[in-house]
Amino acid sequence: MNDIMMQILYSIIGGFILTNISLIIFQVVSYHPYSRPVIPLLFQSITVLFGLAIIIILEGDDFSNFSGIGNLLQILLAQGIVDVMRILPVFYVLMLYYLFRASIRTMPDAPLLELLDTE
Amino acid sequence: MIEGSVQIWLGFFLILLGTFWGRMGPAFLRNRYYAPILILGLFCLVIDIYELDEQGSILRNAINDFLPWFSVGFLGYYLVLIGAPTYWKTRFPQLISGWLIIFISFYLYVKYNNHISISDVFISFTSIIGILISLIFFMFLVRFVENRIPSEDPAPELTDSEKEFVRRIISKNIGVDEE
Repeated sequence: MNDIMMQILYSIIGGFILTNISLIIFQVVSYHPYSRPVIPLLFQSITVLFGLAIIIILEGDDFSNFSGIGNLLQILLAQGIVDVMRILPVFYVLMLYYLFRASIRTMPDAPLLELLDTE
Repeated sequence: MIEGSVQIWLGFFLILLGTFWGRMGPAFLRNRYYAPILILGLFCLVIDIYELDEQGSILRNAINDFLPWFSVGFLGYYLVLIGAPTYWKTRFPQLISGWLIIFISFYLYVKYNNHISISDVFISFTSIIGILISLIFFMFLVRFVENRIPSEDPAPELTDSEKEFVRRIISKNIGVDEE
């Protein structure tokens, strides 16, 4: 597989693992008597391992460059975080449109609020 | 190097922990420790004490490039939202200073991130596919688990004393004289 395809795959699996691990942490730290996190936690852990397995299979002999599964997990998590930080400016600029509209909009008359001011 | 890795991943964990505790439950009953934990996590990510391994360095550099423009932009957004006429009252000092700060954040973005190419950003965009797959999968898992919970019997009717209690609370809240 060429380098760009491999980078794209790392980004996809990095985003997948970052979100899954964030959701796993969320379910553990927000546990309360009415939550039922066992099945989601189990399946999400399996999918994280599945994501790691895809990379290990595709890297083949190159997997020996990583010093273990823990190291690979760190690489993919770091990739996911870096990717999120790189794409956030795009959403930041898109949100500016709504911020601009909120800044210049004229609100309809509110007779009840005016009544409050006169009291 | 181990200490550096532990510090940076502990920071990541604490930021998630602080964020989740800060958003959990009703607004009047949220965990009071979320803010210190969030700040501690940020410090763990930013403070450069130990030597880092390769991926730790990549992450630290990305954070150092990200935080200046993001924190300034966040402040700008906050000020504009306070100043905007959402609640009928425009606060011009906050509104104008907010927009100025947002423009400063653009300058900071260009200053700290000029090494990132368009193709890097396009490749990073593919991470959205992984994020969406993960979220959709999680939604299906939660739906599956929730559907397996047997429905409870309908709640019994309120007793007279409970009805009176509810009537008194509503009267008090809408300002009707009880007498």
